[in-house]
Amino acid sequence: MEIFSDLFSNVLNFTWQQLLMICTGALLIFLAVKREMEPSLLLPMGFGAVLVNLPFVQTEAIETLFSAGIASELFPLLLFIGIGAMIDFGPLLSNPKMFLFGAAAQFGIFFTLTAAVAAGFDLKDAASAAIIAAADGPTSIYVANYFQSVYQGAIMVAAYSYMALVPIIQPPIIRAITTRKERMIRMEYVPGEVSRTTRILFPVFVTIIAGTVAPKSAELIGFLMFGNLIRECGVLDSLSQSAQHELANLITLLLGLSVSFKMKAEWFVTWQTLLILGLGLVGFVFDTVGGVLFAKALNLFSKKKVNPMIGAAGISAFPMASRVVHKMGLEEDSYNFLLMHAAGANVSGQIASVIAGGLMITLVENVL
Amino acid sequence: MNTQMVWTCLGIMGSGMLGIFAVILVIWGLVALLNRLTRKKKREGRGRNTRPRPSRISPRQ
Repeated sequence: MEIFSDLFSNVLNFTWQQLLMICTGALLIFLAVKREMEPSLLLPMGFGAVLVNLPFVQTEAIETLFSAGIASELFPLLLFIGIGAMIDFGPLLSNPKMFLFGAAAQFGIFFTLTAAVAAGFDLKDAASAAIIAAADGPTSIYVANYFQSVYQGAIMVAAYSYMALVPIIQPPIIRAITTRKERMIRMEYVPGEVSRTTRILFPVFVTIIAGTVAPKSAELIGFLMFGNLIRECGVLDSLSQSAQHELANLITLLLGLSVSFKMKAEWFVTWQTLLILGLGLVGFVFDTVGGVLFAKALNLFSKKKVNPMIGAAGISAFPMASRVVHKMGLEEDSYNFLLMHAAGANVSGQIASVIAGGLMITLVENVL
Repeated sequence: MNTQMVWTCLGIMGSGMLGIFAVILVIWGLVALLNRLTRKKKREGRGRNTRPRPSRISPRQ
């Protein structure tokens, strides 16, 4: 009997916070498997959350992964190579006007910064929470880690969860701030030819420009553009394929598990975590609002009207946001094909979100 | 609520959005320029090449 009681004595060491985190981990696994919400990240994060919240568990390996990959900013940067290699900037380069919507849809980041400070967070944690609205995992991890936020776990869970929830979050907001007539605006797509020279020079110039204006974003934008360059140069096909598949998959696997180190109950189960999750949602909402209202404002001055829903596609959640807008366009008018315009705005949002992350670091550091 | 900090954040919001638009506008201009330059070269290239290509007629078998 004594042997059994010794063996299972650890069962009595569970705290209610650890049990709550284990349930949270299980929920993330459920969402990943059953609802297919960002499974590549939510599943490792969920499993990691279960693992690190067992009583008296040794987490040196996960902590080492965290130090090596997250604290050093290495994993998000390497993942960006893979993401850059996956992105086709063609729809954007052939229709550069879509750049504007990517910029406008980053409004939620800075709005959330103000809201977070108003809610009582200090500036560093507010900036880390605000970057959830970048709708970009690596950027969120990069900025939250840069500011050494204690809420990194919550921030990463929020960032990836809300990215997967874009098809649920955006439509009601878009419907609330547009009229049916506006949603039915047709946009003709005339595919423009983009030369190979443009495709190759684009990532180089973007790195130089964005890196000069916001040096803190130089690494982020640089790795993203490097990935794109190896895709577009045409002479590194095997590297491009490896970046898109093996590299991206490997880093994603380790990233999810490493992030779970910050999901220990003592750090995660706080009222501030709930607030962070709420602020993240606010960020996504105001990203959508910012993009749509910008498009509507643009329509006041341009003869060729833009469907305001395209503004909502400027959020960095690729490709969900563009698919949502395309689908909503078809619902209103079955002959209104918005996908290519939305895709252009969507990939522009990818660039703009990284620039926003760099600017956030620069501007907040100037204040501190 | 730290009112002073909220005002500071509103300033950061203004600077941040201006900064993003400024960078994006520069990139847009650059892309427009690249598109124009590379498209022009292609058109000029086609115009100059007026030599008729020798026709390839396979011998009848």
